[in-house]
Amino acid sequence: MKRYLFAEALIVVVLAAALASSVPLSTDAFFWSWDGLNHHVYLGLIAEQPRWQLDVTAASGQSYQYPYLYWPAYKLPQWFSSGAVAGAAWSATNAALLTLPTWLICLRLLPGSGDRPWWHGTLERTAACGFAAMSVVVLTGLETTANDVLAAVPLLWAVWVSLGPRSHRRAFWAAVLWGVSVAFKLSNGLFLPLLMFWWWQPQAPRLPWRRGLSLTSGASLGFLALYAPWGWQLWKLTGNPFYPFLGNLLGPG
Amino acid sequence: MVRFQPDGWLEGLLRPLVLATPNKGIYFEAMAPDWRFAFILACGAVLLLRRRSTDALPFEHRQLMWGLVAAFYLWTFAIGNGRYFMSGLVLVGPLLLMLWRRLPGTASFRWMLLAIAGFLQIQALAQTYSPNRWGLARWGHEPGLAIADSPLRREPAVFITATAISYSILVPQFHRESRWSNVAGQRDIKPPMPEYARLQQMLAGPLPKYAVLPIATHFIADADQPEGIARLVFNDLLAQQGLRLTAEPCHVLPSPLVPGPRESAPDALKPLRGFWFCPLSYTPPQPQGQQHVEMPASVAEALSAVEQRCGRFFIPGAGIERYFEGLWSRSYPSDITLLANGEGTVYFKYYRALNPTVIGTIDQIRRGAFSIPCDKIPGRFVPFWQAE
Repeated sequence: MKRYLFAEALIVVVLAAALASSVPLSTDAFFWSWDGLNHHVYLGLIAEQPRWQLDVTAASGQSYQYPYLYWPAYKLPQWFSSGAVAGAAWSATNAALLTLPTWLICLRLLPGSGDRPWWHGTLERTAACGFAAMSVVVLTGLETTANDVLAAVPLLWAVWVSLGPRSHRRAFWAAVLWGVSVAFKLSNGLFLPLLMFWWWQPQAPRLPWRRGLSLTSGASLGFLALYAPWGWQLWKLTGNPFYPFLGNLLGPG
Repeated sequence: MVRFQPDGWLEGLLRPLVLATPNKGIYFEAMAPDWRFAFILACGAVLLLRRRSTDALPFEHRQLMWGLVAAFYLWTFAIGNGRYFMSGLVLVGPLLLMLWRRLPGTASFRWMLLAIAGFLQIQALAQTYSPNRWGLARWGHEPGLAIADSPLRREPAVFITATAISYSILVPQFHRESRWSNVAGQRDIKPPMPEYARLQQMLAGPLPKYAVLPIATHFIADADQPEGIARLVFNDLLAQQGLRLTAEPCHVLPSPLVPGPRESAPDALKPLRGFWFCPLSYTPPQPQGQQHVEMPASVAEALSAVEQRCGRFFIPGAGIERYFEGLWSRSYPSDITLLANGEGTVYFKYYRALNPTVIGTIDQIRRGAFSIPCDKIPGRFVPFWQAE
């Protein structure tokens, strides 16, 4: 990567992290949300020390959510004595993790061209990153302990990988990251069409079986590798690795 | 979950435009107007009109664009919750710039268009975004999981919560062998749920049992104890598990982990904020459910008739049933509650509606002489082309 591009990425990521951290610093506090009080901290605790033998839905139905992305929420009060500092660190981390793959995607979608000054591309990519953050949902996600932002990160990396030079190997790794994001949050399965479109090719055969195999095996591997530790625990407890979902299919209903 | 699903195909297909509406409850609980999708549509339309087909874009870029369009509509019709489309909400920024770059006109003209788009979206954000919108309990300069010290925290015990917020955030602050369960409030634990047997086994054990109740400011009696009505409500919730508050006084543990004032103040715990830990007695519930009041057949028939008529909201078999002070209710996962009062009137209330809507009397409903606006339940978002 050219030096100015590296500097550009660094500046954009640091700027995003600084802006995100300004919210808790300006309010001099961090706030636990409804979900934080209800299940985020508890799930972080059981990510570290499972409590199946002790508790019975201590966090109601949310006790069965994939817990590992909540581990930082459990640790924040141990790592920081001040809510404002904890919130700043948390928001800055979320923002940096989200911005880096977003900027890299921008680099693929909005590359500079030789007939324009270099700063044109810089301006476009910075504007694109700005537009990426211009959402109440995204901004709110940065400041809470919800896992929405963290679960989106591997999907963004998957998109970045998919935008590179065409190869089955690259498709495989994009699918691995897609599978990881689905393990993190099952609702990321709604991005299944991305996987289907990655299969489609411009030249015949349009749907090459080797590429399909790469995508299927990659997605399965990414999902299983990350979901297995949790699915195994749910399966031992209820006989259904996705409990309380798919009750009709896998029981108990 | 239908909370954010569109009511109809047209509303779903036009979701990119609908997202710009400054209403709550479209795809997020709070107001979150998003013009970016409308800008993308506008850019796409201009490119089509100018016959600048997107075919000139690199293949991978088109793959991403059409893949996201498909994912957008899958998300819209399957669930519609903005939090579950976080990646899409981020990617729309780079995609917008990708299309904007191909617009006709001079560079200055395009930048002016982008500045207008940015201004509109920033304006929408400025009017609707407020920091810590979801914040309920403030963590300032005290420990993050602050709760008053007590012997209760050092000895193993069984702690039962029965509130909508389970307050499982307290678990790390108590003895690691203590046992916790949220038995009601969100999801009642009852037979034949797999958790029921485990819960009863836990309750039958030798550990002392306590109900954990967030202190309700308006229901504090002498010596900071819960008032009689608060005891009545919680006893009603706990009865189906064979649990009952004993006459012993509750332990009062102040804590800022109960929702309260957002501002930092030295007296932030006044009026009293924290939890009551009330000793519980346990008698294994009888299989016949003696403590359970049976719903009269006529009421059950009327409620079932409503479920049959509008199954999208009143999902048959999915309602959590309650009886309190002569009022029967069934709360559904679709954020709607069906109610039947002692005078024989049935009505429903969607969580965003200001008032309940009367459906009719039990007799009318049993005869089928009733109607429900199932295509647009009062309280649901009404798109601009349907607004009166």
